[in-house]
Amino acid sequence: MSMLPDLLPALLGAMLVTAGIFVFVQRKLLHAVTALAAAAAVSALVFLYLNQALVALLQLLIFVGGLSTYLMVAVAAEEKFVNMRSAASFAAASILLGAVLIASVYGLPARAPSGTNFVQLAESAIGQYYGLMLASIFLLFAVAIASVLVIRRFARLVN
Amino acid sequence: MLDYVFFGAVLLVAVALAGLISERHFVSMVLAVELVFIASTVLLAYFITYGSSPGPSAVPMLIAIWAAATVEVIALVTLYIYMKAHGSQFDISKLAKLKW
Repeated sequence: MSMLPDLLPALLGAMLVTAGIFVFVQRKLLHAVTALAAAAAVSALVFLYLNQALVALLQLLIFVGGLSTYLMVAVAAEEKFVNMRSAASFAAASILLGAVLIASVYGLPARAPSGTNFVQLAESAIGQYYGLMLASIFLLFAVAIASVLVIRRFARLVN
Repeated sequence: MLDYVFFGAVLLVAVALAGLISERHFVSMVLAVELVFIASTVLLAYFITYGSSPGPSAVPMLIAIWAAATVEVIALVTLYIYMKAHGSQFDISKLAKLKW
């Protein structure tokens, strides 16, 4: 039983990386999007493990419920198969980049949990930045909607 | 041993970057960027939980990551669908044929 607390974060980290690898191993784009949704779901499990339940809920809502569904609908209608440039180059680049990144962060001092929860931070942060945050979110979504409209107009002009 | 989560997120960034440079399909590259966003949210939550004094500015940062991920997918996938519907191709490897 005492091994379980050590095993769980290792398992979650391995599942996260495996889901990420599956995104690029799949030949059908629809399966790749499903693997991305799985990676987002595993990250929500990681948040639950880190005792950040609200972040886990938001991650599920935004990445799995919103983005992955949009991507699936967009991709499922038309996509066939994807050819990777080279599976060997992907594996070599993964190992090389992984080794470089791990070497650069290895040896960071271990920290004890501060016990800070996202909800506590949000309570103090939203009071200060509420207006700015709301404005930036509206601005970003306005940019997304405007880009859709501009692309539609552009497509009409091309024809 | 929560470092496993930290190293898992760092390795996810490495896999996403490797996919970004190995793939030549536009949507696969968008998925790679999404994986980087997922890894960044995991790392930010890790630093919130384990940072010695995480400031309240972590909250707008997290919301900004979610907003940027959402906008990126909506804008780029819509662009892809419209370009594809009108016969344009998104083969990044063709950029190698450009000359200075």
